[in-house]
Amino acid sequence: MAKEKTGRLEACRNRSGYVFITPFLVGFVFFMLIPIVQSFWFSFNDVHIVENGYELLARELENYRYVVAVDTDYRQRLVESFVMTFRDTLVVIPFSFFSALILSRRFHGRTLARAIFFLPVIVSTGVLANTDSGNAVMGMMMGRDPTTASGDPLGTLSASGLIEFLLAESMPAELISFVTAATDGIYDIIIKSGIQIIIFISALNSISPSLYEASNIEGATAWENFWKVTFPMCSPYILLNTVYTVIDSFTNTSNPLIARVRNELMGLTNFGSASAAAWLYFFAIFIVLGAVYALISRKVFYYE
Amino acid sequence: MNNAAALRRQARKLANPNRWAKFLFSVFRLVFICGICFTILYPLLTKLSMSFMDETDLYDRTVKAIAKHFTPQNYLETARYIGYGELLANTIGLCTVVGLLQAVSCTLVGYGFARFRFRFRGALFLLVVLCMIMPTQVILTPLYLNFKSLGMLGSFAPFVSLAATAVAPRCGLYIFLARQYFRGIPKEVDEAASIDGAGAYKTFARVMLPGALPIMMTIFLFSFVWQWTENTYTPLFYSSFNTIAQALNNLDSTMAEMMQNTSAVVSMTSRVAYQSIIKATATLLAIFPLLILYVICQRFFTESVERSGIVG
Repeated sequence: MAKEKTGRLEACRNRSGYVFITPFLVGFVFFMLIPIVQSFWFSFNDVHIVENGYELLARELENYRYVVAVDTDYRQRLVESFVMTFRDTLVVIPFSFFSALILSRRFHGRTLARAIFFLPVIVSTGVLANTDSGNAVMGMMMGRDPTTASGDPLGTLSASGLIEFLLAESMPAELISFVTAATDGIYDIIIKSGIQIIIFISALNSISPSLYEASNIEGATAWENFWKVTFPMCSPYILLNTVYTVIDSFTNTSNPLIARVRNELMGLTNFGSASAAAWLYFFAIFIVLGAVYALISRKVFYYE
Repeated sequence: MNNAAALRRQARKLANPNRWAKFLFSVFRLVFICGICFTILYPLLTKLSMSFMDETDLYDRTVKAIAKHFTPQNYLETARYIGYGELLANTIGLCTVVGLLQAVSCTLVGYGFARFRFRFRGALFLLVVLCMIMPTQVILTPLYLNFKSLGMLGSFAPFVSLAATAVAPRCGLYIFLARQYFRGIPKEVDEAASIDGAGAYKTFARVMLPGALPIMMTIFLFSFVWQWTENTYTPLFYSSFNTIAQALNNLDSTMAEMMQNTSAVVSMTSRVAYQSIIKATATLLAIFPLLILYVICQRFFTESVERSGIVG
């Protein structure tokens, strides 16, 4: 690509771009950069809330040492949240890609199906993500033990009873528990896939039909079309969606570690060690994201 | 004669493996879509059926989904307990303010990143990406303390300042959306406007903005909906302000209080059942406005993202 020469008028015009992004720059400095620096600073201190502001007490690396070496709960939650993110990403990406493949074709009632698939993005976020519980009584009514029903965090469609009933006679117990865990997680997976499905549908729609025409003339089967055309063309969006899913899972309020940090901060106690915990976590996320990006972006195909 | 030919044609059709594959695929598609849709709607449906039940229905084993003592009483009671009218007014007020501000600020910023080639553009856009991946928990404490020392707590000021400067949670995503939209507009449009004597600002206001209304609407709706359910910033920055999300969050304690006051009316045994009914009803009351909005504006939610959105 030849470097185009920008005239003086052009340069002047381009400078007004700064004006458009000024709100963001101001906001970034005051509500991002400064808080980030402060939070980093807090993580080396003990923070005491006083009447009109706060006092700091230098602790050096004590907060970090506490979080890493003393606090067993933190380590456990850290591992849990990594496992959760890993599992989510592995299931959400294939599931949403598959759903998008199905929803991108024409069929009767497609608009309705898409609307319902996207519904969780609207109604299962924030506080609503945690209020699906409380169906203990419903479970009881459906002939299930209320104690186990209330232990089911989402209290949603649970196939365990049915599967246990069907398989208990013939299958080993480990297999049953694996299958029931997977089926009980379906609701979880679906509500985490809304945005990804939309992104994949838009990716599929953006593939030029002429590519399929060409490959059909060459005698490709539907299977070959998928692997040689559809999949490579969608690979940038697989990367995008993977990064999105990883971030979403890491920063979701249902994440065990985020839940803990959030509780500490909301309780307005232990600011120092909570900041240290958040920062360690942030570094961990950063490393994982970098690894994911490096791993996938090598396989991504860009059509130019 | 004719009949035999038709039969033969029919037989040939049936023997065609492609037809069978297509048929099997559509059956599979039907099962898959129905199954997923059912799973998504199931919690809503159970809540809906529960919200019309009388307490006794919950203990009646013959009642599954349809209430025997069908009653809208729960809605009235729940609305009274949580003060639904006030909650609704508060929440709509906050969400509208935040949504409008974010729609404007993110569109401006997205436009700036999309249409001008200023220095450090790439590096500055990386800051937007940083905002996207930064867990809000990291900056929550300092934000709280700063707003406190500025005396901005207990008002709309924190929300307004975060939204107007496009750094509220998820704003990175909206900037991204707006940028993708504006990138799709051909350069010739700018050139034509410039030849007609319009400067950068006039071009934006007169040429770009009218076309950008759908994408602004999308940003507004997403921001509105996510603000509706937001329960991290609101209780921290404006704890006395009752929104629907906060009411849902505090429902358990509210109910416990209420139970103590009215223990004569509601017996101990029915507590669990009654609470579940109230909880289900309250959740539905929180969701209904969103559902209505979603049904009316569905095309802005899905199609706008699909078309203008990420792929451009």
